[in-house]
Amino acid sequence: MAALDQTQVKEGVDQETVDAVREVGTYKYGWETDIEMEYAPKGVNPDIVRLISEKNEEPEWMTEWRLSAFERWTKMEEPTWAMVHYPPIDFQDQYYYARPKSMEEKPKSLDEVDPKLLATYEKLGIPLKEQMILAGVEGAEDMPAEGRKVAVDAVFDSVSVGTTFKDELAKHGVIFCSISEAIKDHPELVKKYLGTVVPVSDNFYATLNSAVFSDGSFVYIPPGVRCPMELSTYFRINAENTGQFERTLIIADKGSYVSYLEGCTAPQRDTAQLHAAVVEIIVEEDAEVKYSTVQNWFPGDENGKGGIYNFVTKRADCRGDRSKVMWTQVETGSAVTWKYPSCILRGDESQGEFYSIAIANNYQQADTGTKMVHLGKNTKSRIVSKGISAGKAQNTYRGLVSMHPKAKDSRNYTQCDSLLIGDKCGAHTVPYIEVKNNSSRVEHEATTSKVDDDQLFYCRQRGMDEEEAVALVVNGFCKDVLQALPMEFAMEAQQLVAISLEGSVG
Amino acid sequence: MARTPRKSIQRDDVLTWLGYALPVLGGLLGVAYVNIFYMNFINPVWAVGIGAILGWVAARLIRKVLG
Repeated sequence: MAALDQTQVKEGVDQETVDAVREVGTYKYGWETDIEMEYAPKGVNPDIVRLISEKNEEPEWMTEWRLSAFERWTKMEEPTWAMVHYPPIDFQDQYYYARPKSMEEKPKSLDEVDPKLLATYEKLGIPLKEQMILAGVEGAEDMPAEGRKVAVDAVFDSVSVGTTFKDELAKHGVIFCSISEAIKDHPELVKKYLGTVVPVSDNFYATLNSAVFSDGSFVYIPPGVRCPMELSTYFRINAENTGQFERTLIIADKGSYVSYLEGCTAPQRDTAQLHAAVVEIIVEEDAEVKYSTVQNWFPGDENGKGGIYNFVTKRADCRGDRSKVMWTQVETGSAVTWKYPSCILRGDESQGEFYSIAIANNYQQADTGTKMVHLGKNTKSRIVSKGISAGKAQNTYRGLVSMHPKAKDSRNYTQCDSLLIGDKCGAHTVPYIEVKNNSSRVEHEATTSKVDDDQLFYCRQRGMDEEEAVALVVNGFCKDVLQALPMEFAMEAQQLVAISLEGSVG
Repeated sequence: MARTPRKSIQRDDVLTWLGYALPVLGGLLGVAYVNIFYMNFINPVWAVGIGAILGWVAARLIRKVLG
């Protein structure tokens, strides 16, 4: 790309074309917003925990909850069992709270909003109409918006910048806001559900998150309500040397339905940054939740420098009978991924589904999978995992299927496929299966294959270049998972799959 | 005397056609069921077979009633 920067552009070639060519093969969202930020002092200690709580204007019980989590965290050790290798993280050498100075007070008109913040949203591809709402301009939500389908909660570093269509959702009884707002406005719900799915002591990163989470999203769908639009969260890390610790809490009450999308990006930097998130989903009787993620954090450069260390704990608790949860994830970014979205199938006849594509290129490392814990009778789960490794990347599927003694007549089907592109990458599969009753059935299928030269030759004969051919083969390989994504994400994910593997052949 | 060509589809044609079409339709519905209700983990071979048999039975019944 440096060569292109030095090349004289011919007359008549517009800037758009030059930019488009420049973007090919690079991380599209690697730019940084030059915006004035305010930081908490570096490091983590009880004072920082109190400061974060204070910045969010939290009640005393929440501060105490955080402090107890911090106390636990100091006694915990970082897990080393995952098949990922990275230099030791200095938890005291980074910021745990960073917010744009302009967000100190909620802006009342578009003129008051930092133009750089608006430009960031525009560049990230969030519709212009929603910018005002994202910027928190009062009254912007009343403006008519044709064809709008997705409500967005945008999290910029440590703060939620704004949530769109809150009023429209409120008409249906749906609560969609940042978790900091929910702690203030709906403390009874937060108190009842927070930490009940992912307990404070769950694991090292979840405990750290419980202590220092700065913002995130909160969703409550009342009984019998089908959420009228897709809900989504967009996470953006912008500040340097800052970790992002967001928390998402979704509660689907009896007979309700919601589809939730999550997207994330970060600037391209030489130093690694930490992202440790927790997502908790509570699914009551006959309710259904679909949670889709397109993870596109900066993966590091081609030499493995920089990138995001992504340590995420996601768990859904199907508490009611006949409840359903579906995780769909496309993992293309981050230098290190450590993520196991899980389902606790507690209610009888509850169902859990997990569809995943994990792409690792260059020096990326992904240790990802799922846990399906069958506790109720006649529970069913389905796991479809597709791992693609290229360059010198390592991709691990780690999954647990557990059938408890009371989970009579339960079923699980697991399909776990790995695709290797090149001869220096690795694919590993680590399935754990525990069956404690004799009426349940567990099936596991796994394949490992290489992109076949014959397939590439066939495509190239038909006029495709090598990268197009690989993209076609890989998209075919991922088809089962891409089909499970909502329409809004499917196209984007398909392109992302192709882009992520650029430069992996030849 | 020349035979007059048939102008429209006769009832017998439909009844004959049903005997072939309904088992095929039943099989297709079996495939559709397996794909829509994939969490029921039904063996597609059984679904197609049962669909085809039900289609055949339906065709026989219709022929018996109308024929």
